[in-house]
Amino acid sequence: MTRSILSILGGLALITAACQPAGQTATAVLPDSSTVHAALQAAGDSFEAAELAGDAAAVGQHYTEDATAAFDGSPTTTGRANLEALFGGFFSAQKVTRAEITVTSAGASAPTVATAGGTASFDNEVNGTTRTDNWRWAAEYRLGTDGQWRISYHIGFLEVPATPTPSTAPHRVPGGDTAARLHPPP
Amino acid sequence: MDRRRSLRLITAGSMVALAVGCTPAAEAPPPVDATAHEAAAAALWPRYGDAVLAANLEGVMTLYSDMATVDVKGFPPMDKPALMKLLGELFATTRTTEFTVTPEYTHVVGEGLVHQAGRYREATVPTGEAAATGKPMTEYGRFAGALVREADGQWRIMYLMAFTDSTVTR
Repeated sequence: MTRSILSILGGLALITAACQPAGQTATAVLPDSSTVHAALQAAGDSFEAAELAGDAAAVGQHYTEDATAAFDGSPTTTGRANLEALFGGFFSAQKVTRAEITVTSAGASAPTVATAGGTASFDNEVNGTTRTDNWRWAAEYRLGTDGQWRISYHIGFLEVPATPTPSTAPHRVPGGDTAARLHPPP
Repeated sequence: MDRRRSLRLITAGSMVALAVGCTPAAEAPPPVDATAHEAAAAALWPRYGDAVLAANLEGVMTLYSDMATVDVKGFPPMDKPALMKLLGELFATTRTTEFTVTPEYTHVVGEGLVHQAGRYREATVPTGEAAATGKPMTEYGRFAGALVREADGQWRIMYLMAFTDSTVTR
């Protein structure tokens, strides 16, 4: 499964790296893919820290002012302030005790636009109980005038637990969509 | 919840765009005709929906790039052959009676590349052997993807992520 995810996300990078917009010279205009990947992973690391600190404002700094996020289990949310409120609500209900955000694939689509996909895993403590949430996500980033890449569009869904009943795999989702989804992904 | 349905939905759904048209680089980039790009992206989904409603597997698949990847909740990431296999199974067991895609986010990234996201809704009824035991379903969810204009001038889905918000049994 991990390999499959890697291949898919690898496909994203391929798209961004191999197919540059007409009228652009890759070496002259598009940021280097490995450089972008490193920058977005660094942003992911910073996102992790904000999650562990339960700091919604710090999480918000990873989004553009007009960013939109569509997270499994939460309404589509637009605007940094609203995203901060979304994460703030989450942090008030539970504590993130482990966060691991991995940018599996990334690349520039335009001089100031990049895309990435990856995984995220969190341990969330609620009323003394720890729950692990594993996400898959994809995002569009924009490069700010301050040199920072911020998320402009974010989508993510919770991974379905391993299927315990072979007769229903792979077309049925154990537990349906009712698994706890209080936690927005990175 | 039957993930196969959501898959088809997804298929129809939409996406954010990551991709590009893979056109030759030029020294002086011409301005992108954003209106034309948005119109091209908007035109893809009705074609997609028509193909789904007609259970036209080939018609659906022609709207995907050969390099496409589809990332749908409940399934491992799929390339085009894997998606085609799954949709073929879906079309053999269900008939779609309603299919709509509503883009809510469109970003013309550059020449031949549009990122798009939004919502989808699909109603299905079981067919064949499943008709005896299955029930009509209405499902809706969200998607994001990348639409690219390929070398032949056709716009196709290069990447799609989607998940179902709800399934309602009628």
